[in-house]
Amino acid sequence: MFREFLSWGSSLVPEPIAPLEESGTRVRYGLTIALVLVATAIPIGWLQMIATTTPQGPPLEISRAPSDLEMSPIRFRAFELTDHEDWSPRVTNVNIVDLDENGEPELLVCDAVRNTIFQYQRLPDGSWKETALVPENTISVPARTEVVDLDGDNDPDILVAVFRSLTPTSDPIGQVVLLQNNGDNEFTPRVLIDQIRRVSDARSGDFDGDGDLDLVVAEYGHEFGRIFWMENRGDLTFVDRELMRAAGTVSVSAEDFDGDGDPDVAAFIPSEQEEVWIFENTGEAPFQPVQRKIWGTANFDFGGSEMLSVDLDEDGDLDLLLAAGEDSEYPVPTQQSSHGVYWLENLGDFEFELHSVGSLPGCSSIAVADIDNDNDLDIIAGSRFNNWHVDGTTSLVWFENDGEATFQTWKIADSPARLATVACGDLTGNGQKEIIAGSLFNNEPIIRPGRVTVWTQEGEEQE
Amino acid sequence: MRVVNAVLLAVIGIELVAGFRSYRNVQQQPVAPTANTEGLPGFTRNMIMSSEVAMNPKFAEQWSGLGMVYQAFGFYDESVACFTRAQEISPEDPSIAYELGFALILAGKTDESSREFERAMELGHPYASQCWYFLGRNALRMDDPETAKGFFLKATSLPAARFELAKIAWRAGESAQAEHMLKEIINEFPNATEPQRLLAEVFDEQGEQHLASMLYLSSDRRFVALTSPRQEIFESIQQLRNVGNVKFVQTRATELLDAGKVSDAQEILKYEAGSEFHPVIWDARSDVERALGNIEEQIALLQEIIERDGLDSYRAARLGFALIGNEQKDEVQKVMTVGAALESNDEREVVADLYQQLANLASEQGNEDKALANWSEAQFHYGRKIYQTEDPSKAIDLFIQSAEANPETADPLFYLGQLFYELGELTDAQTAYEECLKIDPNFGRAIDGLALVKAIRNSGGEDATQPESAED
Repeated sequence: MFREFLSWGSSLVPEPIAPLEESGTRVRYGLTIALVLVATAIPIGWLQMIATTTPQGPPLEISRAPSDLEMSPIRFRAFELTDHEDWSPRVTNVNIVDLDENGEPELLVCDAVRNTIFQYQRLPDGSWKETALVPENTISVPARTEVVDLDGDNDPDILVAVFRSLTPTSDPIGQVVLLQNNGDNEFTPRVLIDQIRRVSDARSGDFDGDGDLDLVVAEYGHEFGRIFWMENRGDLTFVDRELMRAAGTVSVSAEDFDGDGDPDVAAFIPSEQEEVWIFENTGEAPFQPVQRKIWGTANFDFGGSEMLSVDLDEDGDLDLLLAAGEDSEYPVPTQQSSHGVYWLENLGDFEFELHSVGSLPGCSSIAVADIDNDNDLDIIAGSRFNNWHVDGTTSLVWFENDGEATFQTWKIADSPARLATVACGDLTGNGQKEIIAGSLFNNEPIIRPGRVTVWTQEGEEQE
Repeated sequence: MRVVNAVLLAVIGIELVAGFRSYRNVQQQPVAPTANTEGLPGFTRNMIMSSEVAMNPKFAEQWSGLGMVYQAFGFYDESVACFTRAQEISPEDPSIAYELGFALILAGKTDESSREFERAMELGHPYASQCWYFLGRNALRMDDPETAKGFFLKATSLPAARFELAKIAWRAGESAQAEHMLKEIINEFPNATEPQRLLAEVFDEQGEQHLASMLYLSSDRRFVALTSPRQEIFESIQQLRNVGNVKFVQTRATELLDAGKVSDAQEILKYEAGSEFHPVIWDARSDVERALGNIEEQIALLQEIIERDGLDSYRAARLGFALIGNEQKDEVQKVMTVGAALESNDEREVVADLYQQLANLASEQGNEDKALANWSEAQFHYGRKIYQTEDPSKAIDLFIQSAEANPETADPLFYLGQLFYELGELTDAQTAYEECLKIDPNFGRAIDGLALVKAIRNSGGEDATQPESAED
């Protein structure tokens, strides 16, 4: 076959022109040289063409995690609480409270753009009145609030955990501030402690049993941080006493987990550690708690983001709910299979069992309420770090409790994005629960924006 | 000769056919995915889009390059698709398998990621220990420390893998083993923070409170990461991100302004960033306006940033200094006072500069008490910056000056105590803590610091404050 091809090829070569043998040889050499040149030029030409040509095939297929969440059978209508037009809204916390103690709930919103705490009161016509409880730019990046009568003068004050910077830093710029109520719902900020690292949470409880309220503080920091309690020495002076060195503690809780009548401290420490600790109050003064690790995982990428204490199975003891989805390991957050909501069931004697409630990529915030009014506690969860550049990725879900503490996940919304905080309660007094969420856009993309969004129920979807 | 010519003709024929097939093949190749860059700054969007176009990927390394760009900006699924395509073209390339393995971690696909790291080793990846390290981290992600341990044991040439082994031992209750491993790592990398912190935890549990406190304090000032393969990858990701960051445009504009090329700076901001609002670009534009002598415009741009995106110490400083240029001293004082109190930026020098300027203004107004208080704050913040970033002993004078200028402030005395402790000067440390507590008897960390110093001195351990003492 090859020989045939060669002879066919040679037949294509024109015979040299006689008569001079020398000139014939020259022609043959010239031809060979030309063929060599052509044979060299062709691959170069092809390479050039290949290099400059644009592929015209189908777009490269991208494999994405399936989003198979079903839409909630309860329909919700969403609206923005205010018409602020911040370029990158940064709401760090929403909290349903009754500050004026009139039986009607209000909202406290921590705003890291305006650097203040806003109060929102619902007016009879259904609109919302906004009041900055302290002048703007007084409290730099407030992280969380707790309403408590800390000074013991029979009116509610507001305890504020102050983060001060959304840029990761271990600098001691954090504070715990009390907005002290003058009795007329006018507030004066008092710094209870500063020169500490960024503070993500602060809660009150009488840990030493001396009749006044002490504090427990999550000093989040960045590479370094602590959990400490602050012994109340009267006249709003406190001494800070370390409980544990741990960076990145997202939540602390001051509740009675063992039912012995005094408050213990629970702390959720993510940041490579991914553990939940309880500091058991033995009832002795001074407060010298017994440290107990009640849960931990070797999965450093678990992504712990929030913890709530609640009696989810209503068996008379306090359980813990964990949100996982906050991933500070990478320059741009990722979505890991561990992201979602978990229930740490209290089995007694500081034994806790972990159950998965449901998954939600980038889950950052949780709240508990009986959404469907069937006399059990459902869970609402918001995502801050979902894959926002993909259309339809979920930002808000609720997990329906079937009464046996097993849950069905329902999607509520995909917009606004970056829900760093959620709360749920009956704001309108109509017997149905509203969901309130705040968006935190501390980095780009600024996509599907919102600030404080309220979802009201519109009833069951008709079959 | 005829035979040669015939062979050449055959070669040409083959070249034509093969070339055409290759050309067709390239034409039919899949096109690069286009990421949805909505919500990103215009400059970043342009950078990503120009990468898609410029790379026009056809060959494996081009697909890998685009995969890296997508990875850097958080388009993890797109990144995986690109690396997978690269692997289809060059299935025997171990570095592509390795890169795909890492991309799959970011996409949350741990199992698939592990398979790629295994494949990278099968193909002869030159740094097998790095593959073992990532396999170990993936096993931890699956909450499987035993399997992880097996992988890390094959990567013990990497300090990060040995540190993971120490962590696993510590969590498994093998504190003596963890202690031994950590001490070895600390001997080799005395500045790395993480092993010191973990060793402090070990000491804490063993009831060695003094040793634990010493390690906590000595490692508390500044974080130094232990080198690890993941850190190396993050650094390359960060380099790509920096190129696509709007701050890159700002830096370019600043360089041009510094070189006196104002119109070039103006041009680059207009060309690269367009008219879309972005605080960083507006900030850079304000510098251009200042250079052009348009102070009113400069102030208007800085005010717009604050109006649309809030105030922090840096922005207060920028606006305050612009207002000084416009002789609006009352406004300067107001803005700077608020900005300094926010202390919102981790650039401590900005806060220090604000206090320094407030001290100057108070002094000009003849209010010496206020001037001194602000000057004290300025020295304190300058001291804090040096304390954290440079030779801590250089901060001593600043803290002393701060404390002397404002005898009512306990903070500089507390840091003096910390600093003297770190330098092993326990007598001075004790004095500083005691002075601090005279001003604020409830300063818990000063109480703890004083108790620690006293305990060490009582045990005769004047020189026992250095981290190396952990070896004892």
